[in-house]
Amino acid sequence: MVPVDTLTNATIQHLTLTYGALFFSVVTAIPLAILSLFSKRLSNAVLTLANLLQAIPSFAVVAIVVPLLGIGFTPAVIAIVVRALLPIIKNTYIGLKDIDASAVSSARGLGLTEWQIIRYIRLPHSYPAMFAGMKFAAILANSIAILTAIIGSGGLGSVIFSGLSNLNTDKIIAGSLPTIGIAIFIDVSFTLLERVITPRTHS
Amino acid sequence: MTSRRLFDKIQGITISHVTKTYGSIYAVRDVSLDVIGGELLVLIGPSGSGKTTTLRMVNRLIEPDEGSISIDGQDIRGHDPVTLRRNMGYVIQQIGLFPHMSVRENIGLIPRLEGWTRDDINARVDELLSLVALPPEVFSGRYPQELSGGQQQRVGLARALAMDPPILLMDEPFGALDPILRMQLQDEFAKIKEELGKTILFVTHDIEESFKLGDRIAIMRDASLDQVGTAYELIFHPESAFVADIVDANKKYKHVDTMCVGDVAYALDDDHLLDGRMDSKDALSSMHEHDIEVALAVEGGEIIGLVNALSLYRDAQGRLRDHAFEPLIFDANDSLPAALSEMKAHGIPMAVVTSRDGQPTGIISMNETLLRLV
Amino acid sequence: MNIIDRIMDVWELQQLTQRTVEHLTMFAIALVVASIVGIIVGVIVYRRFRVATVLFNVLNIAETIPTLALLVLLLPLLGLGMKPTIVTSIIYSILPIARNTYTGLTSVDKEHILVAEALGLSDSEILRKVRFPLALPLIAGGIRIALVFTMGVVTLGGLIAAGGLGAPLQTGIQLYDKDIIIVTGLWVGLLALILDSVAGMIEHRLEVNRDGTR
Repeated sequence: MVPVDTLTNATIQHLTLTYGALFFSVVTAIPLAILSLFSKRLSNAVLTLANLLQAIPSFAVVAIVVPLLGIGFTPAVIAIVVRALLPIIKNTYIGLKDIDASAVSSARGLGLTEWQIIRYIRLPHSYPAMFAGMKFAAILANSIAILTAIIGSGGLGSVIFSGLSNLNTDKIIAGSLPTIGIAIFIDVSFTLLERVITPRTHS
Repeated sequence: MTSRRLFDKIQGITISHVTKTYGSIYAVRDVSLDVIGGELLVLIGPSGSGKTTTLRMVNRLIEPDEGSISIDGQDIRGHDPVTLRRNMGYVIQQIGLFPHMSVRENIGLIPRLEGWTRDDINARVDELLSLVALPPEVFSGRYPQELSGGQQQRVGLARALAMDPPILLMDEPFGALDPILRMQLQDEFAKIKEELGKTILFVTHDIEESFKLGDRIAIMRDASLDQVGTAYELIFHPESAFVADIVDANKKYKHVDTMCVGDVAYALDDDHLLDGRMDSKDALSSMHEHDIEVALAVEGGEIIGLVNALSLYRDAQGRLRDHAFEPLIFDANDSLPAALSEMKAHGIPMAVVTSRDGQPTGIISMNETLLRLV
Repeated sequence: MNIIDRIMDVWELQQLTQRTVEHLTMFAIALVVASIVGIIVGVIVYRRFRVATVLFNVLNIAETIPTLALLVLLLPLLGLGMKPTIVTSIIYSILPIARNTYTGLTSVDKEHILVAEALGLSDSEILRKVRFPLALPLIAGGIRIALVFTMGVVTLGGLIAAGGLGAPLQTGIQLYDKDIIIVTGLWVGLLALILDSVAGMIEHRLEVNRDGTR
């Protein structure tokens, strides 16, 4: 058996890691996606990088962080952000870009500034894609947050790894099941959030 | 799988009291129609009138709720749908060429499924491409996206003819083409149709097209059949205001009463006058040379009869006079409706027009005349 | 010691050639099995529409489960090593392949199906000659997604004694040996990118063929 205290602490740590990394990813990704609207070169670079990084195994990304930034909680957050950032940028950018040209030109005709067009036309239009990207990023973050225990991030991954080291099935299960619960929670909550925030026209 | 050839040349298709409903809406309501073997019957009407549904019931893409359809007296429900369809060609407006197959593969698809040898398939594809005026060496390797709309529709027609089906079902085949291309394809198809000798059921909403191609025309409205007949019958004896409206009889044919034969006749020149004693083959090549479809056989200033290039082409034996048929002769000042009625009554589509002194001056064709009046 | 010597050192000490062979073996087995199963599932689901929603919902949930959690939860059943690694890869990879197969088969233009029926193709001929070839680009796209998943899972296999390139990564982290981590990490990344671009090229080729413009 695993002590409840240990498990509670590990879960809190895991959630902090997951949502902390997700938070950093979102606040970095959305401005980057908006900036990409203004520069073809930036958007090309960002999208190419997104596609490349998506193909690289998470374990490789987590490992590579060690020689660069050492071990611990912060390097773990950065490893997760590296993987979670790009789906959000990519989806948001596509959502912002993939809009009826006539909607933008008529907004311009109404006298909206470029910024107002982004704020009131493009951004709301990008919500469905943006939230899909965020959901994907959150699930990815939850998944990698277990793995980062190997570089000293703590959390539920530590419980799993300690179970793995002496093949303690109880520990393995105690560490894994909450992460599955969290994954399903993320899936459901983001789906609901998406439904609330998305304008009706997208339903 | 190889499917049986169900029929070679058919006597007719009998559509008998056919009804199809979707929910409470009638798509087709108690429609009875006889398609005579070898004719091109046009189904025309506004959208939603049931013409496409009627067409699709013939190859069992849609099964009627009531009534029956039979070919040469055999109920089509007695045939396996797949076998039945392989005995009927089918062409639609959207063409539906398979984008992952080359022109050759598209046309050769059913022959391949029927187990033909590669050589037989290739020969058949080449033959069909030539028929639809696409040089095989240029087009057979192309993919549908590399073809223009008109070329795609030609391939669509060739594909429908792959198994040499005795019946052809066509659903607005030229509807998506631009007007000039449409006319060109109609002209070509009118010629191909003669060569094929198939029974064709043809859906359109274009009345000119139906006059141009149809042997008979069936007018549909609100899921029912209004009237069936030749262009002549529909124009001059419409049974309802709707039919009159569709053929535009009231507006366009009113003035026909006041017209005379000379107004619509084609002027004859010397090229049209051929000596009845000359050899048929020479006559044919002369007609080809001058691009003439119909000529007048004369001997010593006397009219012996009319000859047409198509029948000469089929059987160019003997002298020209052997192929001449006795024409109706009208004076240029005769009333046009009366002349058309007489041609209709005699079943002769062509007549000679003469001046007051009896000299032939022109030729009048019933179908051409009707078409020109539209 | 210069860079090349250091790389060669890591390569030999960590037996990276052998690790790569192990890695690619697991990868290939998993991807081939997942492709076959995924396509079959896609076709079955296409034939039985009601099964589709239920099955896809289940697979969707499976897809959100953290990879490592699924991997370790299979340990009591399958033990350590290659077996749970391959099985986990397959579980993750079936969904994208099956879903894309299903979408590809069902999203064929209506008029192509209408014409195929009217020309007298039987249902199974339509599936083989029309739907399936037209679905190929999407199926290839699904396999490409699965390829990325499989690469990820196989790398994690190193943590449960499956060998492959995840093993030296773990060793590197435990020994805090930067050379091992960098060499192996970059090699895994490069391998993944190469495989993904090859798959991308195949996918693109199929799309172009389908458009017929070549």
